[in-house]
Amino acid sequence: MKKVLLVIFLFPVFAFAQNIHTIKGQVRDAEFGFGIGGASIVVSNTNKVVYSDEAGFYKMNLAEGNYTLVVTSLGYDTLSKKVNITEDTELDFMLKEESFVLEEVQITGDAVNQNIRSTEMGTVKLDIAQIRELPVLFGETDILKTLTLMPGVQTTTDGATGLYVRGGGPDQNLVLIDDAPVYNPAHLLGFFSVFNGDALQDVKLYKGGIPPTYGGRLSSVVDVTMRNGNRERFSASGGIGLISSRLTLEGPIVKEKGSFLLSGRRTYADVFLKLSANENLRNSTLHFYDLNLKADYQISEKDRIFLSGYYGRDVFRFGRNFGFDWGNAASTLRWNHRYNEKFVQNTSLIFSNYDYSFNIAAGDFDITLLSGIQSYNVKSDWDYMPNRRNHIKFGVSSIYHRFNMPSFRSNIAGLEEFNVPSRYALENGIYAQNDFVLNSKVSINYGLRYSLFNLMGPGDVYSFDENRENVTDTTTYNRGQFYKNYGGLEPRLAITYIVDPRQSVKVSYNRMRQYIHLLSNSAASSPTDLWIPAGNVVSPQIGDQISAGYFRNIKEGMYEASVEVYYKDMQNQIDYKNGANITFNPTIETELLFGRGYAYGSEFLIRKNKGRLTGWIGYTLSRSFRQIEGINQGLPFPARYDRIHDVSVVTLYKLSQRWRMSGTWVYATGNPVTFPEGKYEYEGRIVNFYTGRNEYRMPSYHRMDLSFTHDRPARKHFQSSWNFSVYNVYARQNPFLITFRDSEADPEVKEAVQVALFQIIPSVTWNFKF
Amino acid sequence: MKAHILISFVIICTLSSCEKVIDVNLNEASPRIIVDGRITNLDVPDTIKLSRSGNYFGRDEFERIIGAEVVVADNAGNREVLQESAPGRYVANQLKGEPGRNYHLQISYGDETVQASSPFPHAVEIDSLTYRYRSGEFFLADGNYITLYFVIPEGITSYFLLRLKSDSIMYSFNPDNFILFTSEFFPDRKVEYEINQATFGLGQAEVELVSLTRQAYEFYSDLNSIRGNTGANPFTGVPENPKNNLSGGALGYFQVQAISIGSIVIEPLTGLP
Repeated sequence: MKKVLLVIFLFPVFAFAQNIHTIKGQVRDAEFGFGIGGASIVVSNTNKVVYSDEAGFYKMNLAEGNYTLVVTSLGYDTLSKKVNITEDTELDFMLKEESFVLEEVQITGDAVNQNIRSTEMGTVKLDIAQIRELPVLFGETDILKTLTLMPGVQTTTDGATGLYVRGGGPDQNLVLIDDAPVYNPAHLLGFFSVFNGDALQDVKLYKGGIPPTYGGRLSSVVDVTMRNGNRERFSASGGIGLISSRLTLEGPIVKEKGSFLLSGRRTYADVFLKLSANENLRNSTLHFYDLNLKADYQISEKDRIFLSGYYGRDVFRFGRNFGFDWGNAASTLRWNHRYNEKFVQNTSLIFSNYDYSFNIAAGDFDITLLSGIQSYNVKSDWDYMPNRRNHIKFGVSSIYHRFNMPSFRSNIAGLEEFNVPSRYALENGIYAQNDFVLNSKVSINYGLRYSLFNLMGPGDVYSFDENRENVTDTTTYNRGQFYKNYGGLEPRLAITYIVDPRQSVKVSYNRMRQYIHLLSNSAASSPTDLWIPAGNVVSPQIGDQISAGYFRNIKEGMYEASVEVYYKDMQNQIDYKNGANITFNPTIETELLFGRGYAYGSEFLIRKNKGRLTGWIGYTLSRSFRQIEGINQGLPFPARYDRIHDVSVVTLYKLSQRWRMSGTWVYATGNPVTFPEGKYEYEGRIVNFYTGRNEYRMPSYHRMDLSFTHDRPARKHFQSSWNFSVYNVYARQNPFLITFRDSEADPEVKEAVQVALFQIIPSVTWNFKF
Repeated sequence: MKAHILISFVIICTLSSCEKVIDVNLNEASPRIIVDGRITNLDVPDTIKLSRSGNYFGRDEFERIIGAEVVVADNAGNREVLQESAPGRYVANQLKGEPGRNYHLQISYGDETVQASSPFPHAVEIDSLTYRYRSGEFFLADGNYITLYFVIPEGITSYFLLRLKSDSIMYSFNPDNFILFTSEFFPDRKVEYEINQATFGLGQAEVELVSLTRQAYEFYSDLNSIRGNTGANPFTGVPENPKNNLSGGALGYFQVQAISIGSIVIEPLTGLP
């Protein structure tokens, strides 16, 4: 559900006996004509702000009179327009792309004081334009990496994109691209995310206070929106970088009626392998590609359809003997219908797929291992604004999941095929919420979601003995036969108390239920991690989070500061037995251990939004624990992403008319690890022993990245820029892993060895647009 | 996942990674009593070795526990105080493993005591051994492979450990790994099990088929998995001490095993020019 005409009436407008008129229209890119979503239209001398929807449309009611409308959107020059309202008016705004003579680079896409007034908290919205400015590994713009620069959001290790939000795990994030879930948002084992910046509009992350429109994951929602194509004329943009190139084509389908956007990206990291002395490495392949498609079309005054698609794959081949490839596909067909100005409906058909395949060929033999997950989703969301004080949303959703458990194929006689049977389930949700303005001081967003999960056949369902070691019974179910149901209510509540126009206090509570789990017994995300449904042994995860925050704007919104605290309780968390085999196991339940988790923390953020220097400083103080029967003698232990201190400093500085500079610095407490505290001899072998889970810490992590962007003088439509970035400027050797090995000097003595991945990595990218 | 490690290895190689020896300060855990011993059905005396764990960064030399009182009893009224034949080595001269019995171990050393108990596992006997020469096969080293014939009991799952002995043995995998399997691997009661973990050179080869309790089997299997897993590696799970049957925080295991030994002489290939 998108912010379809997200109109926020913050203070009740004086109810004079005046004539109220409707002003509506579209905010568009002056050059290319596409709609600009998320633009704010501020009515001067009132407290009124409205936002354009994702296609750029807006609507508001104004009393008769003279106004100045100020339209802003990130990356565009601010437009002011004086209007005299005497009747219902249709008014389009054409925004010019931000000229770099502008003194300030605006960091936030939101209107002044929006952060104070909205009931949203624990929310991060980043516009793609500002994400692009930040320095990144190999110059690849990466929204997920940028999110980790915000308080409460972290990643595990160098390069990894697995997000850990407020002490939750990476499978507890609902990652959506235009409403379609992406099951494995990582490329190249997590060094890059699947989101190609060129095709995106913005990203919104909910860490807490998750609205009832979303469900199915415990920790957070990462809602990525793809950008609409140019409605006026055909255009192209792209970039050529050290390890990847990108190209985006866009244009009108029918002028002013519809547009398309097609964007592709391909990495060629493997060209470096050709330089290797090793023949196998020279014959190896290691690359990924992405394709994004977005099209929209206005069928009638009241109906629009949107088609979004994503397809991406990683390909890895080692010599001729070994192949491994994996990828996601996601697509959404959405029909947007406006019954009237107050009532909008979106109906979507959504498909998502993730799969991997693993191939070994040696001599005459050929072995393949396949697995994945597929889901088909139908949903409808309604958006209704009966009056200025209520904004109601409600909807239904039904997802059919197919868990393609690992299957094995070979040409070896007797071992032709072996399948771990697939599992099937329906995940249904129904919700309603209201964003309610009680009075000039208090706004309440309250809502309820009910979710229902039905496991269904075909399949064999195993019962286990008390210790979950032996199968005691097997029941076979037919296709479509329901054999286990889970369900429950998920209340959500957020209250904002506006102290004065510059400061507010917010509290929120949400309960989330998660019915699908990602099994992964390693800290880094792996393409072979396995999604499984809750079942007769594995219970759904239930998460409760309470949070409170204080929000303040300083100097007319020049600075924005916030403090948020949270406590989170997570039921039915999963961990693994020693050496658990999760890849190829029909009775995977025997390898799992269950328990609870809890996390708490406080997040501090100060942002500077205006001036030549902009940016933010974030600090998080937090803990995250797990308590699992069978681990650490049943006592609580730090979760593997428990991180006490986490600091990020992000700065963007405009050096001159053509040069911009940005820098980031991050510091984090090292991740908890388990090291041996002794060793002993058993049957002639030396065995390590451990006293407690995650008692040790990796050395602390810190790193500085810098980036410079130089805009070339524009010639007619053609614009270009150079981006130079350096990752890990001061060559900090952040440990990626620490292992112990026999010392070279004395093989009977152990030594610790740390491996760091990235030292200084410079990169250069040339971007263009015409 | 192996591939995973392989890819990360390629990435690491490609991206001029950096490896260095570092100092890690490990707590010195208080030394634990280590029990390494077994009671079997074999005619030779069984031993139980007692030692202490050592510092992780120390040498592989472990203090032996001398002068402990080690008593093994069964539920048929037999009881034996084990004699210390060498420092830390306690020998049972009379007590033997018998089907259907339960065994109890009691160790007293100063004010420390360790207790353990285990039933005698269901014994499976080797019927016979054969061998054949295999070459040029997928994922198999060329060499002589031994096949083991035995019958598994009906209705229960049996757990096995294999010990191989020969003067010229070549393991396909880490030779320190315990070779483990269960009767669930086999569809029929009559089992023909070709040992593909090792090839044998010429001469006498001996195979010990060790029947285990389920708990002992899991102990060995945990040992296999944690031994290959040291340090903080984002690609592996977190190691946990194997569960054992010992009280008082002692490590190791009090094994009660039913052992069947088979042997065969591997001869030079005939019929070759």
